[in-house]
Amino acid sequence: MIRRYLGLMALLAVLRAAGRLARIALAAAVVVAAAPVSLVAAVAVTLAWRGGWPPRRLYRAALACLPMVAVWLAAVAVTSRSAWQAAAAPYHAWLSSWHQVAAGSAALAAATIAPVAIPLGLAVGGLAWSRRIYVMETGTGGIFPTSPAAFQARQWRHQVRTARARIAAPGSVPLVSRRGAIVAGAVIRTSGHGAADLAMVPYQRLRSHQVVIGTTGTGKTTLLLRLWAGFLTQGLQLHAAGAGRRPLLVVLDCKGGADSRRVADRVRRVLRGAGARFTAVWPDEASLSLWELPPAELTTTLLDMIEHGTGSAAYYTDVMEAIVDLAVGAPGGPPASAAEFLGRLDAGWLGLGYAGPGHGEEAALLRSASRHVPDIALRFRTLFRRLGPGLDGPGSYGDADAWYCILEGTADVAAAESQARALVDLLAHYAAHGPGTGREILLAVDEFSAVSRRLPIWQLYERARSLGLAVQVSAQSWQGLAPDDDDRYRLAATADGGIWLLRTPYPEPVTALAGEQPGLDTSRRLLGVPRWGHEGSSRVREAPVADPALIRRLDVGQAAYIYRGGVTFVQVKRLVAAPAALAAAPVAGLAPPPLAEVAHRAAPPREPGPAGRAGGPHLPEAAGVSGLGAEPAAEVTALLDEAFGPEPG
Amino acid sequence: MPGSRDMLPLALLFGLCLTTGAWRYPVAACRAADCLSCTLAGRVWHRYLPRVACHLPCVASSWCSGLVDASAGTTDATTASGRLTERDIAALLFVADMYAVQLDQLAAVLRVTQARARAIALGWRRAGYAESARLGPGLPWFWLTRSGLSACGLPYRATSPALSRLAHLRAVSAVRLALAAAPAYAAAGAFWRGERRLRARAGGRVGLREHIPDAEVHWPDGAPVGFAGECWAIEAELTPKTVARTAAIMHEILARTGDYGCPAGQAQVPGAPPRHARVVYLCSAAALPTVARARAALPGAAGRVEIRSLPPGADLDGPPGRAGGRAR
Repeated sequence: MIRRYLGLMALLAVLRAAGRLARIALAAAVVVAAAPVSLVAAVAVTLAWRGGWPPRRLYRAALACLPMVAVWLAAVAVTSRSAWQAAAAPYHAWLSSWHQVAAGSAALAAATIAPVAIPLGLAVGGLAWSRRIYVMETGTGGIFPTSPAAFQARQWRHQVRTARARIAAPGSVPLVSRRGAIVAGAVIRTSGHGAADLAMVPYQRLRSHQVVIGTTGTGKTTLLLRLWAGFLTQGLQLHAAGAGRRPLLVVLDCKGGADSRRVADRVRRVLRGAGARFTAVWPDEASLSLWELPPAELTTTLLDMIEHGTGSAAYYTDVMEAIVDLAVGAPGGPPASAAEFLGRLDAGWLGLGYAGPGHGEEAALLRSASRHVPDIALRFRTLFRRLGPGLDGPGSYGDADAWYCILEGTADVAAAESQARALVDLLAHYAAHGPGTGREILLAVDEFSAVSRRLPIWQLYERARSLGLAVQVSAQSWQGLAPDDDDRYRLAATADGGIWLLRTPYPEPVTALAGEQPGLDTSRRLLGVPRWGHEGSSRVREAPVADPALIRRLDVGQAAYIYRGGVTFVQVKRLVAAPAALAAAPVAGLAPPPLAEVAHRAAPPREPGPAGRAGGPHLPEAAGVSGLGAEPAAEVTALLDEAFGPEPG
Repeated sequence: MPGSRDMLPLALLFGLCLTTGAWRYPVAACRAADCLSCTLAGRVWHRYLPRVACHLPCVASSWCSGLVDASAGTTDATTASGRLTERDIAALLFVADMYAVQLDQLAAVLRVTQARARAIALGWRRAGYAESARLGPGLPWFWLTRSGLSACGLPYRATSPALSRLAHLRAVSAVRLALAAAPAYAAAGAFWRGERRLRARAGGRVGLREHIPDAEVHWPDGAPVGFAGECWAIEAELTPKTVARTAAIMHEILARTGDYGCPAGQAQVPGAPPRHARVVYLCSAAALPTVARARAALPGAAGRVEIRSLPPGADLDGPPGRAGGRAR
């Protein structure tokens, strides 16, 4: 009995083994019989694995080959004048290819079977690659339980390598796509978004609020530059086509210092290439006039620029507001400069200003608060001294296509906060009442943490849409977005243009905004170290769409774009600016400047020149410039005399 | 042929690759080599290309030239066939650089009669390249539209001339024409770099406290003149400023070392050679005394400031038809 049972068991095992061998043999026969297709499929899967491609790319390649198949079939039908021959052409090609291989003509065989084998092989390869990805994502593939994780990590590396290769290819990543979308770079991986080669952000999405978070050195400025240049390029193109208003970019760089100046120079050169004719750098090279605000707004802005106390100090706030209101709304009209405003903060001046009939109430108010006027004047004098001349005009946002405003948020936080407040108020007024109503404005606040304490940008955020104003806030971390969590969530949750995340140590609050998607947890039975079986169980769980661990590991120049419950990982393409203008080459024989002179360049307090003359360096004589003596001067005179006549007496 | 059918798939595959590449990169192909399609009218192979792409190689030679020789090229086949002659291109570039010109100055540029200049400008208008209007008493003004500037490949903002600047624009154009009429100018191949181009080059330098001259004249190295290699600043002064302001402008121009649009730190570098070897002031009778006094206030550099009267026809209300024609 036992022998018969054992015999039966052995028979079953043999049958199972035979069945398995038969299946393998059958599969091998099919693979060998369809060798051209198998070969193409194998190559396709290898390429997809190496490049980290999605299966869709192989399917798309197969579809792209269909015109070739159609032309081939049509050519066969025309030459043979038989539809049946055309239908049987794939079979005949397959048969001919084997004969040609047997005859030693491998290249001819490949050419014969290519119209059939290439599309079919690509499709088969896509199916195989899709199945491979599926089993790895569900955790059911691989030899070891850690294989899926290793596969994902390897695929990330491959995808990054492919994306880097794509952005390195000249001309492969334009700034603006044919459809007018801004191209941020090459796609590494998507989740919840459609697969694509290039990460494109529609122009209209840049017209919505966006948030950018990334620590220093992760490529945040590069990303922002690309977005700004894309905004200006597409905006100017739409404006030129009569399909949109003229764009205006205003950047508040709240970090300050020499680094901001370098960035400003780079921004100017990049935007110049993007089509911006004028990029004003405030306050170094251009100014704005705070005094163009209407009196009521001017009073509010001036008061907001001064930090006030609370509690009993609120009394002084009220007194200050009353005095500022009197100074701004004096019968002669609002002040036109800081000096004029400070001149008005004088009890005598205000007394004279409101001495006329009809100003009894203001005069009474002045009498009760006159002893505080010198203190208020002192505070504003100090404020204006710290702010510098940048807000004292002349100038308006309408003067340039882009403004790069440098706020010394690192060196002087209080002054930067006041400047930011004034600049934003000016921009809001420009957008709401000035010529800015006819422009599409993007306000980008970089390093927002430096001024987030006193700049209520979320107020502007919520009403900006109606003003045609989009706000882009960037910070180094989640905590740098706003002073408290309510404001942070308010900023992030209303960023309907999307959130850009670069490497940051605490991405969870932002990744949570991307939502979750169903995922599979699969367990596998341990058969003994180090063997795991393929039996186990799976359960559905909710996994974050944007993996926080992946964002923590992002490399320089990589960003995650979170939008509408999906995320796209992007390798940002760096915009190369035109080279900076070089100074003229030194004249031969001219000695290099001494060190004292170099130091003088760094700190150029010039001594005033003679009366009636502008100060500055000594102006060389004509002969010293050209080095040609009196002859060229005579020749110049002759030329000018010929063109314009002699010099008038 | 027995084997021809077997080679057919390979030939088809190869042909598909070729045709796909050619359609994907037409502009690059056009710019990469001497494309016959750009030069042989009537055999426009890439008729779908943007017009600028096909015209850029043609414009390049005129664009680089500082000479105003708009009369070169055919004289009558201007725009009748819808194509631009070299004369048109040179004149369009002149108009673009000068913001706007009046009819008599345009005729001087084209070296034709005013009636003929009007007909040529009408062709530009029909092509959408130019706009014209009578902006005040006198002859009509012509300026380029956005389409015209785009066709010229110039990054300027298309705008009609401001009424307040008409007199100045006319004066500067007259200065350029008068200077270009001098034989030494043509012989040297000098290059006129107008204020519009300087501002375009300067990019984001608006609201700066720096002054941009009305033009620069570059004398190429190796030119047969004694001042070859120099760069001159040109200032047309119609109305008198204060002496201090004029002297400050002179000082700024003469002390400048960097090009317009360079980083602020390179604008005035002590020890570096100045950008402008001299500044030429073309003054109206009203502005002449002020400019002379301002020059006297700069004793160190008075030799680098040349003062002349504006050429005849520079006045907005001056006799038409004489602009650019020097009283010889």
